[in-house]
Amino acid sequence: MSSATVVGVLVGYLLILLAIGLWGSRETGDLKGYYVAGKRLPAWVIAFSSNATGESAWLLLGLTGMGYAIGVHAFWVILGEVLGVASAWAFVARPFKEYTDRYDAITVPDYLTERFRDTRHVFRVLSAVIILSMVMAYTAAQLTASGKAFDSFLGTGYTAGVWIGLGIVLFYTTVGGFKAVAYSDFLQGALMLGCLVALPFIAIPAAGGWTATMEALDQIDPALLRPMGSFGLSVAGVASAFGFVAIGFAFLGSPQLLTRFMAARDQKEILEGGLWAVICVIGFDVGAVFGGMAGRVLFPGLADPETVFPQIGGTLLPAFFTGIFLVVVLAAIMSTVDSLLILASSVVVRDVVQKVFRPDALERSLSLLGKSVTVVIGGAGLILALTEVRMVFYFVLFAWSGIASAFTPVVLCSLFWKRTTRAGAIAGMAGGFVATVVWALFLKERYWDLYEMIPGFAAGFALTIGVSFLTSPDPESVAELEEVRRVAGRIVSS
Amino acid sequence: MIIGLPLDAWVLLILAVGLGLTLEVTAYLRARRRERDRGP
Repeated sequence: MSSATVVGVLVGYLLILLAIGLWGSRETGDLKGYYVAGKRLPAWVIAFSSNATGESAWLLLGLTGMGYAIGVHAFWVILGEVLGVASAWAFVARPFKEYTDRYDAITVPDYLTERFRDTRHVFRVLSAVIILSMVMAYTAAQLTASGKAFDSFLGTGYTAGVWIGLGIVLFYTTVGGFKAVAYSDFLQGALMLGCLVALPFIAIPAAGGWTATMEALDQIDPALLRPMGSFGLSVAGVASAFGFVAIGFAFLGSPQLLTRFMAARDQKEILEGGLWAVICVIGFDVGAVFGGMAGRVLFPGLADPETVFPQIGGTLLPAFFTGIFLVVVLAAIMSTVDSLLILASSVVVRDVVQKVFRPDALERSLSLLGKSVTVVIGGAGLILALTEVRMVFYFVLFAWSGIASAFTPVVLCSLFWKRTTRAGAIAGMAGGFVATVVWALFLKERYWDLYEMIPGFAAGFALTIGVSFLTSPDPESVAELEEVRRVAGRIVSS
Repeated sequence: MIIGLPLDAWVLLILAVGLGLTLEVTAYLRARRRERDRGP
């Protein structure tokens, strides 16, 4: 469907994003400004930005689709995500911020290099390979969602939708850098929260009220109201539930999220940010799942459950609010793509070009190079999205787990276990990534469709810990961890 | 059924929301108390 009102709301939103891009451009003269906004962000910005980045179109289309398809079984996702976000802010954020301030680190490879005294740039090169490959897949999946959303709401056609989505994100990310990314993420996170909290309050009354909705779901399929769904209490059911919980593990160490902690003004902002972040993710996930469940009653015959959100927005609301729903889908996409582009750009320009090949290059030149690389990476994602249309849900989860399995076990061990060695960390990073890819491509279907993040994390931790036991930690690093522990507050010790 | 949902569904929902929220609120209050004890 298409209307002047919907287009009007969309144009208004896009103009705001362009303005944020121009406003942020003043900070982009050097790499610290371009990649972490000079480390001056307040609590509410880092909290909403972190959640909006972590929750992409997958939340609006994929998780609502899960609520539609499997009902209460999707509650396991809520458990994993709320616990993951809370644990990240409660345990990871403060020591990570302390470390990265000491090192003046502006990327996660910066942190790993300094933490493990890596003079051979192994972490930088390995990070570049992993991040670039996963960011391409992740970006392509988000642009696919952009194409679907524009086509669903406005009938623009898939290709035009992909181009429009990428064009807007590239402008404000390239011009405005991380400051534009973080503040636009805040706006987008706030829109997503408002919309997802409102979603069940719109859909459930339209479906006949709470009791009528639950009774109707029970009539459609009683498994929709059971925590273990149609699997029941079986190996497949436990694997499915655990897989959904594991989605939240990634919040503990994915580099695109850790960057927010680095960019915080100080430790006090992190303390405040944690509460905001947890309340926000509860609103996101509970709203999405219950909205999807009500959608199953309202639109029982949908061929693609991932269209339940645009269906609710387009059918139940006046045009102005339909426009808002479209804006929110785009907000979810853009708030993830912008962070991925900045992450990939930073790993090329800061971690490889500046630190490995050109340490004497001028900051101004590197910042310009950073902007060019952002455009190139966006273009690569575009080509993938245009040549292969795919399920948003599956590819987002694959890319999400590839990055998380490579970095999270290593980051957690580096922050909390003084016995972690450089060799262990390298082995864990490579092993976690490879295990994820191999499992997803060759083994997943044979073993209860177990989500690839689980074997990825298992391999990452096993190799980090195992190889660390076979090698010796740097004594300076051990003393440093104890010092950070003292300064950043009590941390679980080895 | 309790207000439309089975008991086990309610338990999972309360756990899903409550566990993380409790963790964060506890960590927040502990950190605040440490700051206060440290003094100016």
